[in-house]
Amino acid sequence: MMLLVFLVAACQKEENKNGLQNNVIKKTLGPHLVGEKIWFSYAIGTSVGTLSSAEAVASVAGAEGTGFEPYSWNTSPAGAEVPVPVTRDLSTNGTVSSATLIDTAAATLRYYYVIPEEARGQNVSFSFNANSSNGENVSRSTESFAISRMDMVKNLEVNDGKACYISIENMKVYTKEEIESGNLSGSVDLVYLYREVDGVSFGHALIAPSAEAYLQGAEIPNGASNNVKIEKQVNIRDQHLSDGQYAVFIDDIDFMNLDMSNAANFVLNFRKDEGSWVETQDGKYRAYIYINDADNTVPGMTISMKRLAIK
Amino acid sequence: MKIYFKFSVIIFLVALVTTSCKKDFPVDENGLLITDRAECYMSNFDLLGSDHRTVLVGKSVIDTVGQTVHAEVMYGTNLKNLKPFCSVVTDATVTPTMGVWTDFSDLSKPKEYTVVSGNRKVRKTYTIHLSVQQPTP
Repeated sequence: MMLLVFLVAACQKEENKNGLQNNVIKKTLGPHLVGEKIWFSYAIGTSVGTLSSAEAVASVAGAEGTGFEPYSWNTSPAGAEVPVPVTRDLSTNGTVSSATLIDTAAATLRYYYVIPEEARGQNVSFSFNANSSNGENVSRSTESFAISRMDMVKNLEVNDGKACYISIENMKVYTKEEIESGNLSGSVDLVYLYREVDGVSFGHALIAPSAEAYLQGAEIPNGASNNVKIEKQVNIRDQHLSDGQYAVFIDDIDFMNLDMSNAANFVLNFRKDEGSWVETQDGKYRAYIYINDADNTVPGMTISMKRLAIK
Repeated sequence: MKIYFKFSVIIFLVALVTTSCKKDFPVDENGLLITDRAECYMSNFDLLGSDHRTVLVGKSVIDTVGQTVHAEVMYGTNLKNLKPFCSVVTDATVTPTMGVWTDFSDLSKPKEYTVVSGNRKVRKTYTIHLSVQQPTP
């Protein structure tokens, strides 16, 4: 008799007491940088009535652009993502983003959190909740996500003899005139040059102003003498820096664990998709410079940079 | 009959203990097999840069009689941070260990690596002479 009761109880299907259900997944991969978005998909559905509203609450208020999209998304038989308008009255006030849903019993909303400067180096968590027309309420909370301390700048154009002076501290490329007019010679960490030298391969190069033997006659602004450490890499193709082309991410910990003690102060022969670790002379910053574009026979490159303040 | 049985068991046990303790395959201090091979030479040498690509211009020249390696590295190579690799004859080892970041910047003091034969009885020390490729004047 007892065995029978046990079997019946074990096979009993647990009933959902609440007709309203929800779930959330984070779609964004990799480290979270200030200014970038974290994308969540919030799925809600009810078996009784219709959906009334959805809300997302961040532990730190997001930057401009944070909030729900007005659509629910589904996948067509052909595999295409199809948006279906399901909301009105979208709003974001402080930490709270909300959406009023119209005439639907199920939806998957996209919520984008634009990482604000205030969140740099902090942990951010989120809670999502939804209501249905019959007064039911459900919610989900996420774990905490660490926000990177890194800075990033993308698609800087460098050209031999023109915009060729790179500052890691300012994350900018300058011309000689800009260096002189802004009194920025102390900020020049690397000089870009392109040379064709008989008997050796030189090509696209990043040279510290102090590495005179490799400057090949490049004009160095008065007072520019920084001696950075730079080390070439060929297989670190960061997804952020390459605009989503590759599945590698440079994270804060990569910079912190970097050993640049035996690095040189110049690198020759850069090609597209290669890059280099860089450490400034004062040890204050470590950066990764990625070569987005470079023609092996023409001067000029497009570069992007991630940087972490170490000290 | 009982005595024969006991005697057989004792012989079996003694044989078992003796054979189980016998060392069939001697190994060196690194756990590598010591064999009968007495051949001892280096057959290839390479140097990788920080990007894990070779920095050599062409192939290195190995003199197995003079026990030297001559290699030219590309112009602009950072000699302070290179990873040496080599091929050796079957069962031989190399000391000190290659495959670690090594400072080759003092060209006046060439690095030395010793090849040890499979039987660990023959040792030959190779001197690595590096030169740096220069632009055409």
